[in-house]
Amino acid sequence: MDRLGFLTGRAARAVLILFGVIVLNFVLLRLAPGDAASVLAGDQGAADPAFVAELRHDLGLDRSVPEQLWIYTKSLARLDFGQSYRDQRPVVDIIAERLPATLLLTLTAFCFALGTGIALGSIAARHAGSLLDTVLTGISVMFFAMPLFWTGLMAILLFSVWLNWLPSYGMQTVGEGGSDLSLVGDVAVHLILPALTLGLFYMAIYMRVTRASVLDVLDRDFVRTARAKGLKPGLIWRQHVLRNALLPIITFASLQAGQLIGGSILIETVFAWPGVGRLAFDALMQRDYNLLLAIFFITSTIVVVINLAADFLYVAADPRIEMGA
Amino acid sequence: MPIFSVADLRVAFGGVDVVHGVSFSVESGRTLAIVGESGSGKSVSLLGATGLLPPAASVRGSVLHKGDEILGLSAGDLRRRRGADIGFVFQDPLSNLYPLKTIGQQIAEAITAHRRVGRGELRQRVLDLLADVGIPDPSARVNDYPRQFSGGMRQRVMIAAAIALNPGLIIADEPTTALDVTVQASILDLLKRIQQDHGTAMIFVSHDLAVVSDIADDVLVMRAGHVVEQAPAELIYRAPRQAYTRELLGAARLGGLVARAARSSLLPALPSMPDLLSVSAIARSFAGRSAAGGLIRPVLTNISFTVRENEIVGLVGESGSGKSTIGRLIAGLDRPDEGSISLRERIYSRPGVGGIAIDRKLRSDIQVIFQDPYASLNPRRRIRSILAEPFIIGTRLDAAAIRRRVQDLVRDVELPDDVLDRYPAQLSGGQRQRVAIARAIALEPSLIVADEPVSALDITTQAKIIRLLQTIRRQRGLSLLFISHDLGVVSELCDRVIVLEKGVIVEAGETGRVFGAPRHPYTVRLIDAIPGKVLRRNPVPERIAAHA
Repeated sequence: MDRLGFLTGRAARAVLILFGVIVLNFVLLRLAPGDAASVLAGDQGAADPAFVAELRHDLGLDRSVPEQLWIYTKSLARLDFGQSYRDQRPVVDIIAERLPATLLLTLTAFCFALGTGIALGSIAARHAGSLLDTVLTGISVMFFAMPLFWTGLMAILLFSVWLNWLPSYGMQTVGEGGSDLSLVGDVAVHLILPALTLGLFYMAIYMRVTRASVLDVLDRDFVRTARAKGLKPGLIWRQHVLRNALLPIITFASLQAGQLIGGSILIETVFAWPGVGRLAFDALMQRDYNLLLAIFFITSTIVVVINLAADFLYVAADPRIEMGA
Repeated sequence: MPIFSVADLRVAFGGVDVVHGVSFSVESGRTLAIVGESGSGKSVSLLGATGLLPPAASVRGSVLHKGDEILGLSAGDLRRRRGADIGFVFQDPLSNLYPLKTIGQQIAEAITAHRRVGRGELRQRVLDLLADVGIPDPSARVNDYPRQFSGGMRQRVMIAAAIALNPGLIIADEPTTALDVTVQASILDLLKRIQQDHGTAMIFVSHDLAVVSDIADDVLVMRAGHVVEQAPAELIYRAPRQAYTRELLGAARLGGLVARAARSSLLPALPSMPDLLSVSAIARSFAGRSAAGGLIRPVLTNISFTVRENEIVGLVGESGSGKSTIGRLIAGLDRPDEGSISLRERIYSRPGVGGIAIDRKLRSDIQVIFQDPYASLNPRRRIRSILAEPFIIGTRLDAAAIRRRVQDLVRDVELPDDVLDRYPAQLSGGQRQRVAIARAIALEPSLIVADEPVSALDITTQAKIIRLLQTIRRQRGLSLLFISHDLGVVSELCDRVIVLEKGVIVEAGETGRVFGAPRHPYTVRLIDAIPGKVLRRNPVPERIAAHA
């Protein structure tokens, strides 16, 4: 199979996975005791069988299960997730309001984690066995071992309560108007603590993976050959060592994407960050199923897309990949 | 004046000396061969002298390159000499070439590391170099990646990178080990030609005295970090002074190929034994990997042969000839597309889909020994558990009985008892291959398929493993299908030989006959490629005989 075929196969697989997510969501809906009609009819206090039957017909619940699944899939394709029970607004509007905040938080945390993780991991590998390596490894283990919410609370205690340097909650200062520029600055200041807390945990993982991966590559014969050819150390480092060592990190980063979104639920709750994670937490508490299912679907889609992007990246980074293996 | 000379070189790792005061030198236009077993310190000496060892190594002594002391030179100054003035060719061209860059980029890199060259000129020089080392159609191959080349072609690429700046010295560290005998011969010819064209000095490291016999002017024999003997090549081959040199020469099978084969056929003739394994008219092909896709590449065509009880049959051919595929088919790891394979007249493999359902009895009746004893033993398990496994799977013995059997096995393959509690990594290559043999004979099979079992081993270790296989055959009366590209080994061990070329049997017969009077041109070519032909052709010259 050639590379294009490989990528097409991966894309087809991604579509298949998304369909699996839809079916799973649909099954989850139906697993709940009773159906929407009895819930709605019960809410209105009229358990009249004729009324329930009419409601059922209106909602399409009297059709066959495959037909319902087909209708559900079609409405998802139109991004129609239904109404929120609590707000009586289209779910998609609510999520659209919250998604940018979450993307800002997770992407900032991700970039921070990846950048510092690779940098510190490389430094640790270059000085493997030294005091510096021990200190860096120790720090990474510490952040990896600390639960996210604990790191968050300690960060609030240190930077907000004691030092009073940074705001501890929200995305903007309440009642602050001002120009666009000061708004950006305000959001940035609010972003530091939650992004750092989320990022530090994942930085620890990337650092450890990078260190192990670089050490492994440094030991390979082709690095010795590069030195034997008299290449400059910087060139060997960039083109021969790091490029090779990054391959497992791409895999790792794409696998972590789902967890990063999961982690953002905790962080958004601790820091009162108005994102999708916090929304999911609230929807769960209030049994707002439509909202919850839409969030599941959208986050699943994001994870699938990220994994697909990782496959494309892998093909770009490693010319050896062309088989369907 | 020598271009490169080393005096009293000592290398230590963590305070433990591995090279104890080695001295040698090489002049322009001449080749110095450094010969010894693995662990003798030959590679470490050269890497140490050129600053390629990790920082943990301590290197002392004196290394003069073009009259300048280079030991203790700054990393930058050393770097400017490597590649430009000293070219390196290492053993395994696949692991030494960088997988993520095209071969053109890798050769270009060797040039641009030291010279400023324009883009067009750089490309032309790379193409010239590829043509010079014998890569057909360079402009079509220059953008290919290392994995798209065969082992021999990769080694040519390595050589192209090494000679890119026309260095005065080439250091070649086992450049032909693990290559087929015919490919080895062509690489040796290439190195010799380059050296003669450019008047380059060469240091050639090998574990095999036969390989260097066609190319060396001087030979340095090393053992355990010491120099054993150092002399002009002719004296080493005709009149070795040290017992160890004679041992290496004996293992190298220099020139004695046919004589030995004849001797092995003089062994008491086997009573005409019944057939054990019968391979009839098998064919196998694989889907091609070419860009066109879907191409069917035939690997084996109409292969038929038998292995008799208590017989050792050699299967020889170059890589890609399909010999390992035959081994896999016989071991039941794969199915033929046509034909069938039977053991004691019971057919167990014929065309079909999926794996072969082989019953436990047959599974233990046919065992396999693989080439690489490093990769084929589980590194996380002690030898004791590795050897107990066949008994646990294949028998109903209790723990105490298994323990006794494992101990017997270890003695049968002539290993000390204390290896049982060690891990594979703590054993030498030869010891590991003995463990693999012990595992294979554990359930007393009637047939062992040995796929290049000694190719990864030193020449002296090879000789010992071959003696062990002979002993085991005698004691246990089993049969052996011995797959190898090394005709020397085959001539020493096998009763009969089957020669395979591109999936077709071109010649088969008694070992003595095939090597003594080969009928097929391919067999002639294989025999001709065995290293040591210069010595084979010239009987001992009189001046040397007088010296001895």
